[in-house]
Amino acid sequence: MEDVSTGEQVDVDADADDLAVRLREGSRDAFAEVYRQWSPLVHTLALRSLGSHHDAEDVTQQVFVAAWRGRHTLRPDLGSVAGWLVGITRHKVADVHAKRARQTRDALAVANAVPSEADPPPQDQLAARLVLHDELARLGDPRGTIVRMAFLDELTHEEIAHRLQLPLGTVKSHVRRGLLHLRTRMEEVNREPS
Amino acid sequence: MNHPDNDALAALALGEPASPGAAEHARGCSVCSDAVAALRETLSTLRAPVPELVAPPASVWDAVQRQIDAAPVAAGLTETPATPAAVWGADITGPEDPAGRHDGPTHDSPATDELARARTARGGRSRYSLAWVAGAAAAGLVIGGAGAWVLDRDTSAPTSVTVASTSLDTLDTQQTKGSADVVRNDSRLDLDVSTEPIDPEGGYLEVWLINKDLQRMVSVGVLRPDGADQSFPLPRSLLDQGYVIVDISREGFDDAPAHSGDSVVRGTLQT
Repeated sequence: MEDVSTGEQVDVDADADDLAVRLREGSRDAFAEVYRQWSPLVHTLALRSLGSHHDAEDVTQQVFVAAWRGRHTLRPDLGSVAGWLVGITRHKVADVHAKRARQTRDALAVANAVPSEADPPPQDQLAARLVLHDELARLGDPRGTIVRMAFLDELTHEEIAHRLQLPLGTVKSHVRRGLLHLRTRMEEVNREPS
Repeated sequence: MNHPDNDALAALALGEPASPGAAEHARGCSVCSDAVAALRETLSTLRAPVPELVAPPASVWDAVQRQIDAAPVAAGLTETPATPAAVWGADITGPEDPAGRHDGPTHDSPATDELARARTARGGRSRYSLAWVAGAAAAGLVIGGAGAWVLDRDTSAPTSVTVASTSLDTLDTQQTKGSADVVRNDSRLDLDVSTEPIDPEGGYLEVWLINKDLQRMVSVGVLRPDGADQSFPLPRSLLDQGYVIVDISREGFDDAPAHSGDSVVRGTLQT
């Protein structure tokens, strides 16, 4: 896939794209692989937002069933599998929050109180963090290693160049392009309608 | 000057020395300063602590597979995703549970699992219908009492009056693809359906009314796929009995009169 932000081929996208295409075509193997790779992300997002293992497992189940049934809505040319799954997860999590809010409201209506904790906690940043880290872990080398050293270990470009025995200019270029690539992933998460 | 290229913007966001021209441009250009801000936000998001990922228990995958296999094959082949049973069991426990929630009984072995799956896929139509109807409630539908039907008001008026309406939305992403109105013309009731053109994918489109008790449904008629407004006569007794959920499904030419489970859009009539 041509990465619009960097104008170059990024290894991780080739694999993920292939998976996305096969899923769209109805491959159960691809679906199983998608589940294997991203169910921890979906489950963690649901768990953090809902605070209940039972609800988080329910939502995870719903998300992947919806993903299979709605696999035609996956657009590898427009976004990542992770971003797509996060979009579905948001809907399902919001449903649970809405249901809880209704229940809280009904219960509180009797006591004539105002529901204050029924609002869903913000999970957007968490979703973005999880998706970015997921993508960061998938970046092919050498960019992946360079970008992880720069962003997670917070090494200077000089330190990275020294450790990896790469020219400083190469390191800088990978860091910049890595950042541009990750920004497109973050935008996907943030533009998902909720 | 022209906008700096992405590389220069990334350098700016990273706090690297950039050409003076680029930095100055970005300060004065909203497009470029927004781009730099977005890159910085990406950077700070990356550096924020991220929770340890928690994988779901294996029972969730088993439940996903059972639920997928419990649905008719057609549901998996649709262009518009149909997820009637996607949220199966969220708050309704049906008499049967072909979808297999993850906290339900588990299968003993992969072999029995396969057998059960094959059996469900072959003969599961009636079982599926139950699951499907129950799933409708969990799909986020507001099954509010549609309240008092304003059917009796002004019965002498000759003009047509819309007494109830709903948008018709896809089940998963809630995209609005059309609308349905209950219109009273003199003493007659019509269900007017207007949608974007829908690809019947080799079959045909059928309009249903589902009862708010989620146990019963009736077929209202066959919808032409061209998206033009279409009208279906409606006995008032149906509405009085609570058939207020409008559903459009894709049906195959398969001699099966029941709902295929492949819902394209749905909506609940509100007065």
